[in-house]
Amino acid sequence: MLGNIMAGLGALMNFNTLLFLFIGTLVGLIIGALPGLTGNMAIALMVPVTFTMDPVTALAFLTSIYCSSIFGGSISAILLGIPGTISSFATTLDGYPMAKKGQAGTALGVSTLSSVFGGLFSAVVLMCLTVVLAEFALTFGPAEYFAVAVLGLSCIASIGGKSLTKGLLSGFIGLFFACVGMDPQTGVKRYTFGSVNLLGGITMVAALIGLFGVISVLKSAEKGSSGKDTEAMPEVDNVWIGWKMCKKLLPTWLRGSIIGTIVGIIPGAGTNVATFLAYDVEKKISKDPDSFGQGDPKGVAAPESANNGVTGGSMVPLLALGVPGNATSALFLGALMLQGLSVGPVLFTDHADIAYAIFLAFFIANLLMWPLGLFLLRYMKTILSVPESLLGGIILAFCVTGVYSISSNPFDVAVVIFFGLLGYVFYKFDIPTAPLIVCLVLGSMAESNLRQALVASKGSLNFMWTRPITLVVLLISVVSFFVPIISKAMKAARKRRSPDVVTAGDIAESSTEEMDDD
Amino acid sequence: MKQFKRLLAVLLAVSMIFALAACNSGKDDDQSKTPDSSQDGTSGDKNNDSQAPAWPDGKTVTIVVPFKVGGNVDLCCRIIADELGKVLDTNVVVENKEGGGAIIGQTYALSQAPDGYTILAQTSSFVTNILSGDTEFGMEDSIAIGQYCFDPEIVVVSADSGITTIEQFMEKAKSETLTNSTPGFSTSHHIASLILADAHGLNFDYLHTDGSAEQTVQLAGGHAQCGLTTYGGAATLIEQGKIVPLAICAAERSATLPDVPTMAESGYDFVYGAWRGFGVPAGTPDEVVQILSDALKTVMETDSVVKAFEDSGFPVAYLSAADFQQMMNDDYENMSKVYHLLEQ
Repeated sequence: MLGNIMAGLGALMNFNTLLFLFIGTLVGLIIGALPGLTGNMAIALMVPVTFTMDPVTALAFLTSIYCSSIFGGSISAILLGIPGTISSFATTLDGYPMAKKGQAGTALGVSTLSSVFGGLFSAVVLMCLTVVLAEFALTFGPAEYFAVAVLGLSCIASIGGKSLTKGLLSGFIGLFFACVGMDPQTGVKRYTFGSVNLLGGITMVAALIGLFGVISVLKSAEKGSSGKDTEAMPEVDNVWIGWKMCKKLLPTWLRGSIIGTIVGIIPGAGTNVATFLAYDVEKKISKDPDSFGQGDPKGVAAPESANNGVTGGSMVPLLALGVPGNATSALFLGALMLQGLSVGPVLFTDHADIAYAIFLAFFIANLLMWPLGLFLLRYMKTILSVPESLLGGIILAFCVTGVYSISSNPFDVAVVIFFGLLGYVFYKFDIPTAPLIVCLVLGSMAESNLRQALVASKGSLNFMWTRPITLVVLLISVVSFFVPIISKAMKAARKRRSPDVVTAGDIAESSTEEMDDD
Repeated sequence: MKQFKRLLAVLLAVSMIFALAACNSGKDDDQSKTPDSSQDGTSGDKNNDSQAPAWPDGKTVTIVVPFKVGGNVDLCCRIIADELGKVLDTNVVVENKEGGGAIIGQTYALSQAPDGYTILAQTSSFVTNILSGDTEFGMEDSIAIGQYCFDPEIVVVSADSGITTIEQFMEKAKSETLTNSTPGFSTSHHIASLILADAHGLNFDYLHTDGSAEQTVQLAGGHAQCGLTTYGGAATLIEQGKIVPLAICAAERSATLPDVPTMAESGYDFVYGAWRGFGVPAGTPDEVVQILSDALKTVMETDSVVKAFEDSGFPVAYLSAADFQQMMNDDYENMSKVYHLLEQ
């Protein structure tokens, strides 16, 4: 193995390849940070370009875009409260409140180090365990995917804010929107109103940007008309978080990275599930769960280490079996084939140097992200000193352009506006939007796989208890759903007995969605 | 200091806007390897001296791909666009208009001016979409330019199923119900399974996954027993023996899978596959169609294109404008006979 690593290193160490690694990291960072534009899109556009490069340079270039675009998404999530990609949605929950408190620098620093940690962790797993773990990926059938989707959905109970009713309401509305489009098993058109634009369901990125982007504009407009002065954000602090903080966050990073890497290995489970789970786990085991949603650095560290953990994980089944773990690794498959390389065990026997060069490219890309991220962020964070009333317009312009560029379909812009208004209604009635997003993202995955599992089991529900992985994951989901509800009820009961004691929960009363600092 | 910071922030915001603009135009630039690729037509007078026909006169030609960036059709079109630009001595760009089961992109492309500057990437779904009744366009609204690829369906089974020959497979599917994994409802793989089942009385329960990657994973993991797929997506799993190819639904054996018999060899007359080509809106002048068709032929004979297609697992199969139109019309006839199977 050491020989292979040296061979891979040899293949990487030339000026051209390193230059492309650097460019890729920079491009990915910027694309990821722009709301609407995803690393996936950047990679897809670059695949035909890489045809003329040598295989190692081509793959190193794509790898670096992949890693840094996932990280880049957290920048807009923290600074503007708009996730640059869906996978950084969970980062907004605590990253944006941190920025509001004047800790934007710290939040960005945490997200940089968490991403680097998660990325490096998954790169180690990729390098050492690829062949061992690959078979694990194939044990997942529809029943198991269904269970994973339910586990992801179960976290709405804990991110649903103070009112359970409102949290569930928001979740069910999300599930309803997830139904729109063609029925995955019978092709029946549901709630499409004869429009071909809705056949494929609601464009997720457009809905997400509507819920986050438009609403920030409406909020600042509201403040402007109420006669109050729109204030710029408080001074932002340093992006270097110090060793003490690093030590404190280390367990969070480890948990996040492990969750991310495992979810990444399961083909088709997706980056989003990993971030929801990591955030949820961190909140549940925290001694002070109420600080989550108010700007807890751990709430940034968990999802950011998880989503970069997915990057390496998703390459495990691809390289070992030729099975792409997610949309991005499917693009890598295309790029590899275009180079005339076949993936699977043959890659390791015939082209070990290339396989290990890819592993090492993951390392270097993640390491490059560190200085590059910290350097760029020192300047990027100053965007917060722009007065909110001016920033709103710029944000809106970005959101609309970004969404339109996904598939150059004006209908997507209408989706942004619709969800923007819906988000505003939610805000007015103090209903959290987080459960809606989780359900919108995971609803169709849960439905499609449940239906497939039922076909495979000839209509019987027994797959829920006869398949060990499914059973365990479903049981964890039940626990994960009810624990926050029960603990909340117990806290309320205790409060009734001793009304004088003010708990931390009361001080931090506002829901996850209410991030206003006035 | 505060003033400076504000200025910096505004500059940053502006540079982000430029970055965004660059991303979009980057799409165009990637495709243009020709030196005179200016889009404003100033390079036009350069062409006047040569004998090259007036069309396309240096103006940008857009290929509308009604699918996602990075999909099979998109990848094919991007390989072709590069070379087509060189042959036509102009800029050829790919524009993705995905969604609505490809209807959105197809409708958009066919409603553009019939001047040959907008080309539609046509696939089997063009015909099935018309049959579905959801489209505003019909067969008569497009003119064929040519086909570049025909990807035959391959009957595959999971290694766990224990089936090793096509005869065994047909026998088993008649006597019991097999789970059939598809990349989605009404995809060409699904329709092929329906036609096969209808013709020979086979019993399938369908697992409609989301995309060919998921379809093959379900087969490799033994979660489904059989399926119809094309070579590109299943290649590595076939090599590893996790998926077993039984027969190929083509007139001849494939060069990549020489040991796999055709369906006809095994006594079942069944040729079916995903075809890919180009079309333009009806009303496009004949000479423009001819120029495009000839250019496509040249492109598909270029070594680098042939190699890129081979490596990606897409079988090159060029058909002229007339042959491709005939093939699509035949496909429409055949599909209209079996379309009711989807509606059951």
